[in-house]
Amino acid sequence: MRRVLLSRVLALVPTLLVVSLVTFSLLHLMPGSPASVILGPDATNAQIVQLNQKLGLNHPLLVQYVTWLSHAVRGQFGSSLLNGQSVISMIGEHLPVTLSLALTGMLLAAIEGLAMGIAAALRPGGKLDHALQVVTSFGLAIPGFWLAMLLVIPFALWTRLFPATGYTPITQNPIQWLHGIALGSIALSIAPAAAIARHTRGALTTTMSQDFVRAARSRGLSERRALLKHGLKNSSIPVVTIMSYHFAALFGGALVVEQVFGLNGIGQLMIASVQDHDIPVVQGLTVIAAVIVIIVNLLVDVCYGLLDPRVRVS
Amino acid sequence: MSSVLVVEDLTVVYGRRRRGRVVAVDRLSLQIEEGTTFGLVGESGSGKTTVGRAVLGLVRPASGRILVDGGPVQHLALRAAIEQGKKAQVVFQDPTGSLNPARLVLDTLREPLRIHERLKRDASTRAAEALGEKVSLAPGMLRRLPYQLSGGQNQRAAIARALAPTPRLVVCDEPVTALDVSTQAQVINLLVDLQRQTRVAYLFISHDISVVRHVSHRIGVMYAGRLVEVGDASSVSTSPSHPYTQALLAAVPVPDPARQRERRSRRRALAGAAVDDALPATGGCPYRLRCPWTDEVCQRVEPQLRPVGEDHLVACHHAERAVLAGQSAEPAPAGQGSTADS
Amino acid sequence: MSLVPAPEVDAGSQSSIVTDHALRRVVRTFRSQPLAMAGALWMALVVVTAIFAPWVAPDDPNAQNLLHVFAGPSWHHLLGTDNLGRDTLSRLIFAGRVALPAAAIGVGVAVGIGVPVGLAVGYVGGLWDRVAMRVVDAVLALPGLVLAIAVVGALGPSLDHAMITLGFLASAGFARLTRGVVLAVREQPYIDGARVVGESTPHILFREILPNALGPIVVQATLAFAHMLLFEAALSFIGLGVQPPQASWGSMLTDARSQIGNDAFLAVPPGMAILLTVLSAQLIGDALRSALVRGRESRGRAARASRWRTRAARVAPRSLDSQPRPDRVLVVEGLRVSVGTDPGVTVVDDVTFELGRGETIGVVGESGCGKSMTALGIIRLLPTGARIASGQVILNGRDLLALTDRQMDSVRGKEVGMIFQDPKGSLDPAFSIGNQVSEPLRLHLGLSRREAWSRAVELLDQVKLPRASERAHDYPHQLSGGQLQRVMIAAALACSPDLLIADEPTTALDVTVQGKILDLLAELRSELGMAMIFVSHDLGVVADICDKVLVMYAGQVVESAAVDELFSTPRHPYTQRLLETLPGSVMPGASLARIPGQVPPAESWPKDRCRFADRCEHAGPICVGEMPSLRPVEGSLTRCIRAEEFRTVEAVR
Repeated sequence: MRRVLLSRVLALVPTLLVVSLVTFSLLHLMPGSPASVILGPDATNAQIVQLNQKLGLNHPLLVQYVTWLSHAVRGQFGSSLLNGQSVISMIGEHLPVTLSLALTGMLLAAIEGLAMGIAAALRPGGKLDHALQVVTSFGLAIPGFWLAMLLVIPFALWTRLFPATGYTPITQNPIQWLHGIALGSIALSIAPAAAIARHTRGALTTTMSQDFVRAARSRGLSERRALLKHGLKNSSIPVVTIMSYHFAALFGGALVVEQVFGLNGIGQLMIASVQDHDIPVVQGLTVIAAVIVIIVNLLVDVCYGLLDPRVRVS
Repeated sequence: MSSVLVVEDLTVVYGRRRRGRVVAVDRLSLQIEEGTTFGLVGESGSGKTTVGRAVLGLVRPASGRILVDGGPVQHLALRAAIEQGKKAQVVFQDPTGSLNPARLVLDTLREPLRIHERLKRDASTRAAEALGEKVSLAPGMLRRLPYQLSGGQNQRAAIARALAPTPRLVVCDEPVTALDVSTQAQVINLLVDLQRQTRVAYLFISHDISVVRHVSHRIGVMYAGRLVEVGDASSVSTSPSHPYTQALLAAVPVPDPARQRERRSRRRALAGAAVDDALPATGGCPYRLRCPWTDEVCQRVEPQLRPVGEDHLVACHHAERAVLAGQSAEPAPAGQGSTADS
Repeated sequence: MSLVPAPEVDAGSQSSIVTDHALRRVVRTFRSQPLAMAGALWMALVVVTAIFAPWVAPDDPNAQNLLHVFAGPSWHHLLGTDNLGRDTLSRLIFAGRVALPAAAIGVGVAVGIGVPVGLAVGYVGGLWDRVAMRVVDAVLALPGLVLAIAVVGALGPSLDHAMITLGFLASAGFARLTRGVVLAVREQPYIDGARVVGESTPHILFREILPNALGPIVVQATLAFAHMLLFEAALSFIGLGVQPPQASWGSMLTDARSQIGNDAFLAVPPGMAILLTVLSAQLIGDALRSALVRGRESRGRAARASRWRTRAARVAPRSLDSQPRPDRVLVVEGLRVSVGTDPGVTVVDDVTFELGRGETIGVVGESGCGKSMTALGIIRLLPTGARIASGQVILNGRDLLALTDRQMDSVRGKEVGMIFQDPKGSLDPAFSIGNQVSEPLRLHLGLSRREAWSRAVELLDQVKLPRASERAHDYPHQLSGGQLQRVMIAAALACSPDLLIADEPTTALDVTVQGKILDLLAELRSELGMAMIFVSHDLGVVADICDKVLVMYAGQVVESAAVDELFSTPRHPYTQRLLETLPGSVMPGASLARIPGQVPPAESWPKDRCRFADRCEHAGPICVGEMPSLRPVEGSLTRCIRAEEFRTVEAVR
């Protein structure tokens, strides 16, 4: 098991390298010299030279990358070009909002998805199965931010059951925190929940048609018992795997859903920085977003190892 | 008569790292003469399939020499070896996996004609239909996808494809294992007939010693990547000299209850002490953990093939004892699965 | 000599048949699935209106009319107007000109990069493959939208830049998919066959492998199109897509968001446009999948077909014809199994036999003759779609077919045990073998976890699994096939059932291991005294372990006899021929007897004549006149009308 874990952690190295390369190259993707783009058309030569020096752009590319990487590993992404605030502290201010939305959304998605998937698989081809088929089709097709707007209209505008905007840190008041992010999390959870439900149903039906389920039935297990014991354990492996993919999508979706509620999360920060060409902030945000997704995936991989004896034993 | 296939000291190793390195074939030599069948028999994991793949150039040998029709076999990496295709062809076990499910049977049959006879589209269609006729597949059958044909029909199409370049040698890797008995008989008869017509040689690989006995002129028995007994088909099957060959022959149940009741005790005696399907031993004789004759010599010295009769070699220290004991237990199990003599 | 005759003139090429097949399947699928058809129609509508937007749209999408702001739906403005009085419907139609090309760019980039990369690394394999897959996994783990936004930040706001980035990221998925197909296909014997024939690598890649990958790629492309539409909407919504005043479904929602307090309805039309278009793409993708991806399709069908059903038909409990006889463990009477919707196709037809304590009956025949269906019918574990149409299965005087599902659950594993052909597939890889042997003990005997475990170890010891107490903790993948079959036997016999059903239990094993398993079964039978039904296609195995034999052909018992009698004087031509087709029956190299043709599919089994007549050399007019019944001939039962005559003919030979 420890070897499995170690190999999973080592497997992250290429992912992180890809992220760092993409992020680093952002600065050089800009048409024309970065400094002139950042400073706009009216910049003087002296200003450009000064900015180049500040950003380290006068060094060879490789040196720049290594320098940037060595800082990035320590969480130093420089400071904002706009207000000089350190990037990492800006991200620290905005991250809790987005993380709250994303993690709550993922938790909801897992619960909703598994429940729907198991319910559908109990009687494949039954009424409930067909109904859930339709529900998940819509769930997969509906844009999260639009769903958020649709939720805001009745629950926040008309009835005022939930706030249409505003965020309370969890440390301040957990109830209000949940109240504030509830609509957004629900909206975010629908698409991954639909996908998880479909995968769960598919994996369960496939497992239930395996020979070992027939053999278990021949020993006297009822269909339900066989599904809950042999079906669930074997299906959990593919289902857990796809959950990790959906977290990446859900995290991106959270940046957009924030906008619906006017929440000041990293989506807000990112959009503002993009519009202002505040590249260090964009770089920092990209790396942090990727790292969060990767950490969640690592946790999923560990679960995978715990579930599958073929990975665990020998 | 000339040797169509010469294999000398073939060794094939799977896996690169030290851990998980498996010697699939270990210093194996054999020859096949024109127009004859060499039956290679052994249980799963004995390396018999690997021998076939090495002969076809599908796996790279670690050492040794393989000559097909006098020429060395080249490994089929990314470059096609057209000349080799004219010499050696293959029929695989899985009748549905032998043909591309996304292509018409006809298109599969036309490939070798396009490559080797350089036939244009229309000419190759004609020729493919003629090939189909040889294996009793009507032109209408050829214009179907493999899943629309039965297992036996698929296997006949695979045989037609193999014979299209008129090869000197066909490797038959468990060609009838997945078929029902009546279809199996059809395919075996077809292979035998085609051999009479074309003088093609077969390397016939199978786990079923009674099928191998039926089609082969010579038989080689493999255990743990090694040839433990080889020779003329009738002497290997009537006076098996390696305890493993004896166990194999004794374990085949015959469709004759009275004889089978006698054979059961012989089977038990020869199956050896190990209850388990014990893995081959390393060092000494690989069969020693399952062998009823094992003694201290077997642990130390790996037996080499040595003659025990005309065209009959065996790799066992105690072959003579085994043969004697075998004879006393029951007259050698001659016609395998025979009902004719009941 | 050459097998290839001199080529002659044109005979016409037929390769287009394959594409025709695929197209026809697609058309058939869409015709039979109204939802998929609706999706296709909606998608067509969106595409056509987008192309002809200037002519179709009722208004200029950007024409403002400040006198008609927030107008609800009316004849003049079918979907109303927005905060600047612009016609919503016209803006929706023109927005299609943004969304569709953007999504197409994304998919195009993804397919264009992903498929060639997947093909190449899949075929070449080795280090290239490992490196490429690491990168692919890395890319797939990235939050795509975040990267797209970042790239827009560097390159300036442009929808195309964002979509190219997203397409690039999605290409990893296509690479993985294509590589997966290549990897699966290149292990197939037919690819080895193509290499041996001498086909060149490009030919193998594009002619042999790619056709197998096209179906999955088309399906994935359709689904990726749906994703790209959602991405475009999201990017436009946060203002990083198209710039105002140009309309896009996403940017219309931005406007709606800012006016949400004034006019909530504004949010509905653009959202619905996205929802319906994405839904359509997904429905189309699902339909294409069922039409094009044959492997999955058939697997899906198999999955549906093989949920193990337990329900028996509502058979009226018939009073027993004879008094229950205490020495009979099992009496099967007129068992009939059919498949498909009522009345369905009969696959097991009127099977009748009895079995005493300690007795073993062999069921032989070729595949497709109903052997396994008979066995599964008795224990009521038929695959979905199959059901027991009539008959009785009386175990210890009780008709199993009259039991409820719940009662039947308590019979399985307790009074009837079963072992299967594939021991590897029949044990759950996720549970230890000790756990699975304990299952029936805890269920039927109510043993505690610990008691059941120690009993399971005893059982494993009894089936001669070496070091049973240690190995009970092992998982199935750590044992060999023969050992796994021992485990299966231990689990099936855990509660000392009166009947053991063995369905080809040694077919997947090496012949020396087969001998040991047969010995073990014979030994346990004499120890425990259970009756046994032994299904096999191997006549030798049947001769080894059975006391009596049923020979099945086309769903019927054609001969039933004591084992010695059956093998010495077969009384049905099918039995006779089966014995003669065996390689050992003639001199090596001599021609084997053959049964012409093959077992016909169940749909075409005749009801009013001998089913074997078409393949029988002894068949005469009398054989096709009526369905012969199973009748006694000198101690055996045979279904051959000419049994006496044909025996004489055979004797003369």
